[in-house]
Amino acid sequence: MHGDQEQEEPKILVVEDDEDAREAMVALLQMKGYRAVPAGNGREALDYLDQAAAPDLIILDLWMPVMDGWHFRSEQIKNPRLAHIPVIVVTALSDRADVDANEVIIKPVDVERLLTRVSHYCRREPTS
Amino acid sequence: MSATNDRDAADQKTIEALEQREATAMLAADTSTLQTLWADDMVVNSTANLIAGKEFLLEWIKSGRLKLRTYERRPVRIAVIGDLVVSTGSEVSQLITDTAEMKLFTSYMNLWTKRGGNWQLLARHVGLIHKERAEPTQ
Repeated sequence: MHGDQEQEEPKILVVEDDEDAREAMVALLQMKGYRAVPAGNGREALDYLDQAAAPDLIILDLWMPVMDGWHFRSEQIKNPRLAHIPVIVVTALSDRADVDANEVIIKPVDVERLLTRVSHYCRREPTS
Repeated sequence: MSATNDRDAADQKTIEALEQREATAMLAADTSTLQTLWADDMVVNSTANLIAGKEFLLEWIKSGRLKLRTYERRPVRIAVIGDLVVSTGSEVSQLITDTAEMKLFTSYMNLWTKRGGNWQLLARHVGLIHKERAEPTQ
């Protein structure tokens, strides 16, 4: 996990167990000027949220070890400090994406669409 | 051999050369060459399950986020279908990340199209076969 930096850019928590997908998503968000924080599963994400300032957006995979996306989301909604954070679910489970989220994007992810939706939920424009 | 067969064989050789040229340009992060080899409306689906276009991928390479130590492409079949060519094969690359170097064994399918007399890469799909940690080598 990366530590927080005192910057103005919108912060996005990327919760994804697949290392390639997680690193690629973090790198593309950083390239577009966002602060992107990686977490390998729902447990890691909750631990991070417990000790850090709330992100502007959470990008959430569903099928993960330790704590999956459904469980993470139910824990997030129960926590008044975290419940308001918008969530984009990114999943290959097109027929099982029965999760309470602001939006569901099916893998493979179209980068342009993802960035458009990220920009929508973060409201603020990144620096580059 | 018919004229069509002769033309197909010539196109196969052309694409084989372009495939190697494109791989060399990727390894060198040579965006000027990639700019000419890639169609403006190119679509790529990567091993990270991200679909991206030419503009984004050029930006990605220029940003220095794609660091390759080695990159070999081995076409297995090149099928000429008029002004389209489907090239399939395997690739072995060594990727440099912030924390480690990874060797990737992938399969690929490249779709080339002839426009205005020039062949350009229109679409590409890459699938991961195997990934392992690699020792940094020069």
